[in-house]
Amino acid sequence: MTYGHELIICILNAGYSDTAMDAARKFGARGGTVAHARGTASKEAERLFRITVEPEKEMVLILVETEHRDAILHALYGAVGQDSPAQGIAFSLPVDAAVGLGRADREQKPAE
Amino acid sequence: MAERKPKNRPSPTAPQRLKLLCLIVNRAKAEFYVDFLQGFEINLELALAAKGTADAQMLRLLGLAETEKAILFGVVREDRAGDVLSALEEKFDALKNGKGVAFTVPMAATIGVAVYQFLCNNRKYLETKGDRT
Repeated sequence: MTYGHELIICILNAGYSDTAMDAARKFGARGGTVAHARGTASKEAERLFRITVEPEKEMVLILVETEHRDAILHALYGAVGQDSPAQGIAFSLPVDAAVGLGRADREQKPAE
Repeated sequence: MAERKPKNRPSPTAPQRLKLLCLIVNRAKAEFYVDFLQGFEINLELALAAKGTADAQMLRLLGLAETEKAILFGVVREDRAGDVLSALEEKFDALKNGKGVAFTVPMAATIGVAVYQFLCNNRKYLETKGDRT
């Protein structure tokens, strides 16, 4: 089941939210909201996999039309993914109703 | 002759579905909206300090330094979600500097009967438990 909008959440190292938004805007995102967060990881797993999880994180929330979701996720993967210094991850959640976007967005019938 | 019950009407004892309500507003209005949401049987709310992502050129144009925002998360019963969004939409238009975005995300699962009843604001559960402390 899919809806008209999706919420993309991108968690990345602090200081890279502008890079993420620049990438997302190119593919239809109109704006986003950034919150500070603190990352945690198992010290044993960090040592085992020889990776370091920076504790200073940013969480970028982007509300997008479903048709733009895949393109934006791909753009985020390229611009701020695990191979970049931002070491970001991104995922999306279904949004079944939204208000305040400046259009008649309330009546969102699930599409097949 | 007995009236037929309308179809798709949930039985009184059927568990209510829950949704995660996300609200993004100017930080100055966060406290107002926290109080406002409590009027819709939303027992659990979380508020995060956040900032908008308008680019620097746009901010300079508007004469702003930074767009301070707040993200409010709340858990709302499915049958109240429509009311909450409608009421928020009205507030966004009516309140000076109160513009924002609100949306709901369906929740898939939770655990713990007491937690679930708390999130649903099911006062009858307290009566059956005989615990009003």
